[in-house]
Amino acid sequence: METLITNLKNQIIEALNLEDMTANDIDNQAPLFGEGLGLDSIDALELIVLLEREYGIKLTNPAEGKEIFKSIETIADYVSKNRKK
Amino acid sequence: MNNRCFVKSMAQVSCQKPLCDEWFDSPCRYAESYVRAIEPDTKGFILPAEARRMSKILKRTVCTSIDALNKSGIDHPDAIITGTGMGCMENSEKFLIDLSRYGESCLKPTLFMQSTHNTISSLIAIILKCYGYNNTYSHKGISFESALLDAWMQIRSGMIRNALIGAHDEVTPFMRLVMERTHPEYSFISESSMSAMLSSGKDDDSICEVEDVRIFHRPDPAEIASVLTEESDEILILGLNGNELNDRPYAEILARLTFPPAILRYKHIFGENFSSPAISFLAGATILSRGSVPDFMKCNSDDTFPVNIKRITLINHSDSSEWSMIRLKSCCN
Repeated sequence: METLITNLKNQIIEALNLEDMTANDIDNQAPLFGEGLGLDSIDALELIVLLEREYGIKLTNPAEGKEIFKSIETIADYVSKNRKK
Repeated sequence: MNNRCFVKSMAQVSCQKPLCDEWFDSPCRYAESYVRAIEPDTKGFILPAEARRMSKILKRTVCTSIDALNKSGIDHPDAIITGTGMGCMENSEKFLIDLSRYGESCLKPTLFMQSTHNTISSLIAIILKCYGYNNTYSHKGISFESALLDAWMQIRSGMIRNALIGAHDEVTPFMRLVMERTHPEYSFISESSMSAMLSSGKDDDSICEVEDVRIFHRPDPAEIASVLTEESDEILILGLNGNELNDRPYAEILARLTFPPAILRYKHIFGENFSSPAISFLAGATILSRGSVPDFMKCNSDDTFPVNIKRITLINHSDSSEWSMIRLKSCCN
């Protein structure tokens, strides 16, 4: 799980172009949207694309995304259970 | 068309030091045939959270636009009109690479939104919260002149009081390879962004007046020569670059003139791309504002240049088929 979390953080930093940030700067439990990293709706779309490209996961239900993208930890948990690659 | 049109402020990002006129006194010189722009410091222009989604051309555009606006004292221009030959090439390339690699179902939304030509004008409008007339001209090498002509006619006819205009082009390494094949007449390829505020009102800070703007489609050299007069066009800034393919059409016009104008060039300092004519506009307006001509721009001897510079005429062509003539007039005379 630790490797997956680190990979996810690095992939998010690259996909969202979070310059000046490293994986260590992102708290596993901190909220990604609003507070915390302060991501927005376009970032949510970028994350959906990231999960599909890197892990073969297709998110079709938007309501589902709200829970999955709460924090790095919730994303990692969902990916570990649903990844296709 | 009774109103007059004045340049109130300008800003540039190019292979010269950005957001200043240092090029006029001590220009950077390059031996390479391809140089990318010197990136401006975006602090003070763009919030870090906004900057992370912007490609290089968008950051340059926002910086030159806000800098020109700040210098002009106009917060909300009546119109935002820009020209770009190729638009957001860096994002377009990434989007197309993704398309070939991942197919149509898995594409990044930011690249999709910010790979079109009109991203530039619309982004400026969103950031400035200016919801008036907004247009982008993408006509290869006469994109800037098309944007300028639109703004100039609207200001002269009283439809708008002022306009933020500009021309912006980035040349990625891949684009450079394409341009070297499609435009063998280019000798020094580079990138440029130029923004300027135009206004119907003249004040102490006005840089110069835009007296005339004309675009010609496949003109006979005599047609362009016929609009140039000894009194109005004693100094010409031409898009010369030292390449015979590019320079011969200018020589054909000069050969038809009945007077010997003073000739200036600019592409050996700023490089060349589809937005180059905007840089000739910046150079001409800066010369009129300062009242002197830098030696490195002169193509002929000092004695051909008038002591009192009243007007400067810019002539550029794109592929020898599309031509433009812009006449700038000093505010001091």
